[in-house]
Amino acid sequence: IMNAFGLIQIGLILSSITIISSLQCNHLPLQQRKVIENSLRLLDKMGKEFPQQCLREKMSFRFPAQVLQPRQKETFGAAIEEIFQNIFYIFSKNLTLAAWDGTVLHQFQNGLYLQIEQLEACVIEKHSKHCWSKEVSRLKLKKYFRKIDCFLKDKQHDLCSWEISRAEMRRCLQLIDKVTRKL
Amino acid sequence: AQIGPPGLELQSTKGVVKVMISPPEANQSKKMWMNDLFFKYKLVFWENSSHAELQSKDVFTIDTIEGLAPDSTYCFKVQANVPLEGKQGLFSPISCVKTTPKAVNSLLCATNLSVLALNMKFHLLWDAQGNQDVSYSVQYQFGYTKILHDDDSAKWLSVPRCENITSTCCDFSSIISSGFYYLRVQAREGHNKSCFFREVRVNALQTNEIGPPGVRLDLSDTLLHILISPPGEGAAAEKMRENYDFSYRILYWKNSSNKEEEVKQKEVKQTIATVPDVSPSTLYCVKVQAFSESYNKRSAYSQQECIHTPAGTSLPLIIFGIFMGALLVVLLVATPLVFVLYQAYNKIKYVFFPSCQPPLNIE
Repeated sequence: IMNAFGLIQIGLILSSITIISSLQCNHLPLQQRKVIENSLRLLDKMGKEFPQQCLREKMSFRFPAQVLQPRQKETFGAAIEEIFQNIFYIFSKNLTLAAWDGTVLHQFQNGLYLQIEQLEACVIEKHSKHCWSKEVSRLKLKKYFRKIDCFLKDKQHDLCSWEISRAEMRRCLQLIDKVTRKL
Repeated sequence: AQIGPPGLELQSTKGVVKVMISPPEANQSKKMWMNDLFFKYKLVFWENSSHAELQSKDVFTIDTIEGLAPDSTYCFKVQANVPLEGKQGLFSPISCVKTTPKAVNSLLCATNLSVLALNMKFHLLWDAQGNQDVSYSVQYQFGYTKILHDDDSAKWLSVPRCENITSTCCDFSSIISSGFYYLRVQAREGHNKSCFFREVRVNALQTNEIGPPGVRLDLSDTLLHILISPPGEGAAAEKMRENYDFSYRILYWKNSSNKEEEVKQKEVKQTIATVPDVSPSTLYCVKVQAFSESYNKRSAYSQQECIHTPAGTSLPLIIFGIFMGALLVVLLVATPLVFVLYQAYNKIKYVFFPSCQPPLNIE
């Protein structure tokens, strides 16, 4: 009888945890839109206008928009998390030559990091993770970010390469914003 | 692809063990995992004795393990995981270290830190340490810097106006925006003794409590206008409005002494609401609560504001009044006009159509 009671207790605790975490996850889309809005605003705020002299060095990176297709709804959370992780990674080092506002950059990274952690707490479905790891467009996504990373490394993280990357990340976030609003 | 073993370095110092982890493929130029910032490290450790239980902890690349028995040998191993793919990596080789004896001064002070936050005003509080001669310095770290591989000491920044203070309270509102922050306090006594308080993690927007909004009432015709001012003051109010995306819950009721009136509710997103068709000569009371759906946070209700609706003039009375007025106007205008016309008629009749005829013999 004691065992049964103990099991019931554990069951109740587990179910309440699930309820609590799913409540938090229900608010996630609303919070996400705010995060994207904030991130775009901070991206603009951290530097000045795109310098004219960098126009001739412009690169075409081609973000794989198909990764955000609504038909892949269950992997959408995982896709967003991976994109945020990669944007975070791009902006995490060798920023000296960009000469952007340090505080704004901190806030930008901090906002992304918070959202990544929250997404991770919510994307717990093992099946979705498995689907995501096998997803074809995911490889295209990895290639896209690797291309930007290599571009920055080749240009030794100079001002123009950073400004071009910043504009590209802006474009990427705007696309996500558009898709998130439709949901 | 299999995730390789991370590198593990241990340092036993002042009652704690400092753990330094390097990601898998750390020294490789061509990496399988380009983004090595988002590995989640799971540290497994046990006391090197018989019947030792395995303990595990999720750690950052630089972390401290406390609560270990003094003067004992502990063994550690760590694995790197990618939660996004549900993948677990290989464990590092096992590394053992001996903890410092009990007599050594602990690196950490025994007190806990507490955070109070209202309307984006953040205060850090702690208990006084030792005697009067202790000074405190508060440092903070942006949450995201925990996963960067830079030198740990470079990540901690000083909180302005909280350096070498004697009070046990620090206002750190100026450094807070949205996201996670870590705060730690260093207590210093003289030149030699110093210890760090266990760091506290603050999720700014989640920890912050929302204060009640301001309410003002106004009347026009049969409409009651409720004017809401968002919670907070100045820049803080702006920050909250941007992040919380407030909605307001309005409770209003007729405050009459004789009977119990039902409380009505209204939810709005704007800062102005209107209650139509209010009864005359009634005391209406209102109180408002601000809430954020995205953060699931509610403020306390504001103080109740009441307003008295003016004595109503009922419609039939108005109509009667207008009628009487019109009647009066008509009488005032029509009477002299009729009189003047009558006089004119008499004169004309007298001149052109006299009623008296002269006798025939005069003609």
